[in-house]
This record gives sequence, C-alpha cells and structure tokens, in this order.
Amino acid sequence: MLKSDYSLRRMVASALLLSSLGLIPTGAVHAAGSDWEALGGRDVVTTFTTDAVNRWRKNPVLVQFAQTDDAKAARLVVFLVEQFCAETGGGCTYPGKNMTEAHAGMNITTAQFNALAEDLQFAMDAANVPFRAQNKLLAKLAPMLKDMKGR
Amino acid sequence: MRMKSVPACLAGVILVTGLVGTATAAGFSNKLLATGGVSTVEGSAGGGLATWALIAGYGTDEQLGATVHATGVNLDDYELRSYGVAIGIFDRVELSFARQKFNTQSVLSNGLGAPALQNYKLEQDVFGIKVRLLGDAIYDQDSWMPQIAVGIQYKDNKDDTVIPFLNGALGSNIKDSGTDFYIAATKLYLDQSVLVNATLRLTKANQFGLLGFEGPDGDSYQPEFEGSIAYLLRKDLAVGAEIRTKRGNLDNPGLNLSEDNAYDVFVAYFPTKNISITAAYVDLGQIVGALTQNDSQRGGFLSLQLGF
Repeated sequence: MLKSDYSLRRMVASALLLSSLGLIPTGAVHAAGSDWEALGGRDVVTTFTTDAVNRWRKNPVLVQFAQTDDAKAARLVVFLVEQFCAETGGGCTYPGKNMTEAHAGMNITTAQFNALAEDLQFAMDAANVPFRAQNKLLAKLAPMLKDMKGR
Repeated sequence: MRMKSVPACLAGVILVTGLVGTATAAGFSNKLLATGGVSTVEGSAGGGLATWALIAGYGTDEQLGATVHATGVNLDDYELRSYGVAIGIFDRVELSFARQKFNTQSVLSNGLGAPALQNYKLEQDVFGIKVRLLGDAIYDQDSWMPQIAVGIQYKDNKDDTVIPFLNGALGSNIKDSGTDFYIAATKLYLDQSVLVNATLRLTKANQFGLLGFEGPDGDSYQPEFEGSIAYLLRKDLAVGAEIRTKRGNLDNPGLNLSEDNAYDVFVAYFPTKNISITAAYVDLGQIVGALTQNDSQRGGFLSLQLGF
C-alpha cells in the first residue's frame, strides 16, 4: 500500500518519542501568574474551600466531620485557604501544625482521603476553576495521604 | 488426601469469606475516577493495547473492585472481539480473564488451497494475574517513583485450523499456548495532567498469541515494549496514544508472515465510576499478508467497560 498508510504509526511514534524527550510542552505554559492566581486568588479559593468543607460535613464517608459545627468549619476554611495559598505559590506561610500532627488520631482511610479530594473537585468545578489549575493544587495535596493514613 | 483437603477447603472458604466481609464493610468504589484505567484486549487494566501497572476496578487498598468489558476491533481484513472480567483485590492484586474471538472474514485463502481459513473464528483465552509491587501512580506526586507491577498472562489458543495450516505450510511446530511475563510502570503527572506508562513484556507470541507461540524463526522469549501517554482533558475524559512492539517468530516472506508494531490513538470517557467508553483508531501492522488485501491492518476500536 501507499506510504501514507503509515502516517498514523509515524504520528504516534513521533508523539511518544517527542513527549518522552520533553520536546512537547505537556505542561501548562507558565505565564507570569502563579498556580494560586490560576486557582482564582483568595476570593475564589475561599468560595470553593467553604463549599468543599460544607460538602465534607454532609458526606457519609467522612464520619470525622459529623460533629463539625459552623464555628469549627469556619476556622477550618481559614486554615485551609492559607494552606492552599502556601502550596500554590500565593506567598502565604503555612499556618499551623503539619499534616501528620494535624490529623493525628483521625485514622483516615484512602476512601476518606479520596472523598475529601472528590468533594474539593466538585467545589472547584462549581467555582469554575480550570481543570489544569485544579490538578496543580491536587498534585500538592495528593502526597499528604501518606501522612494522614492510619494515624 | 481427602482428610486433608476438607479442612484446607474450609479454611479457604473462611479466609475468602473473611476477606470479602472486611472489604464489604470498607465500602465500594472509593478510588478516584479513571484511576483504574480501562480494559485491554487481554483483559488486564491498562490502555486499549498496553497493560498498565494500575489495578482494575474502583476498590481502594481496603476494598474489592471488578470490571467487565466488551471490545470490538474492526480491521481492514479481520475482526477481533474481546470479552472479559477483572477483579481488583485491595488495589494490590488483579485477576483477569478475557476471551478473544478473531474472525478471518473473507480472506484471500483460495489461492493457498485453504478455503477453511475463510470466515474462521479463532478463539483464545487469556488468564492474567498482576501484583502491584512498589509506588503509587496517583498519590506519589512528590516523588519520581512510578507505580510498578509485575504480571503473568497465560494464553490458551483454541485454534485448530490456522496454526495447523501454518505448521503444514512451514513444516514448523507452532505451539497453541504460551505464557507472557511483564513488568509495568505507570505514573500520573497530576500537575501536568499527563499519565505515562511503560511496560516490558517477555513473550514468545505471534500476533499477541492469535497465531500461536514460537515458530520456525524463533522459540525463545523476546522482550517487547508497550508505551502509553494520556492527556487528561477533564476528570472524566482522556486522550492518548500507544505503541506496542511485536516481532513474533514467523518471518516467511512467501506468506508475508512478518509482524509490525501496533499503534493506537484513543479517547476514553468515564461518565461515572460504573461505566467507561474507549474509542480508538488502531494500526496492528501486517497480519498474514498473503491472505489479505491490505498489508497493514487498521481500523476502529470500541470498548465498553462496566464495573465498581
């Protein structure tokens, strides 16, 4: 057959090769803004974090939040916004205890950790945070599973 | 023997019941969306062609998960169907089974004096086990370490027409079963929204085993490579490309038996954790060129997966 029959294999092979060599920019082109700005800055982050905490309090998988009252939830939002800001280059200093200390005795399972992440994703979707910006934040949070599990 | 096997059997039942009980108490389907991959034509979790290190289904490290799949690949001169099931145990072990049906349709067999090769439906069963050894593709975002798994696939080709025809024509002793061994490394680069997989497979198969194992041009294990890259467009939508090298052990130029690498470009959609749909365009290269009008077998790939 014609040589053009092999265009797909050429294209796939080139894409795999180039991406493995890092020649295709698979990541976002880093504009001047930080990941914090891509999330929408303090107002948007406060909005989706408030939404996420409310979802956590209603999520049957997250039994730890069943007793969380409004005052405690509000303090958690403030704490998390500072944490997200610190993690995404927003210039904040991480406020309190580290993850291991903060979740001591919580005995979080992978299922519960994922429930936290899913509710956070829903909240970010509701706040129209771009998918790629969401993933930048989730990439910073994902390794915390190791600190939060079974402690 | 009987005296021993009854308590052993009971212990086995109690163990399994205990595991299922523990897993059921831990709930179901709490892995994140799409993190079980889709089903390969060989039944294991992966892309469409390449087996990945991910464990099938949506069970976490305390849960069970399972998938069933139905896949159709309509090539220029052939059709391939694959149906199967995979079970994920504690996101650690994967057991899989797939039945492949390969239809030769209206191949050009008459010139070879072998009309029985036309519209022949060849079947192959693939039994797989995969064990995750190291790393976590999803959570280890602060490390270069991928998720690494090793696995075995035993392939039982039930063909009684094509392999005997080839053995007659070549004076060879192509086997109808074989065992593949592989090691797979999968990594999600979440901050880039990209998933990368690389798998090394030791195999004696000809055309994935559809044309048997070993042959006149080789009877030992050869290393083959499976590579995938996927880009996440949304949490429920990924596009990507794959390559799978294959050489086989049949080089006969008269029958055009030599193999080419396989390629695909795919889009996978995960509307919920219970369903995924994968569509792809595949190029499997030459498959018994003497029987076909096209010297490269290309076509559409469509796969439906259900699970939890």
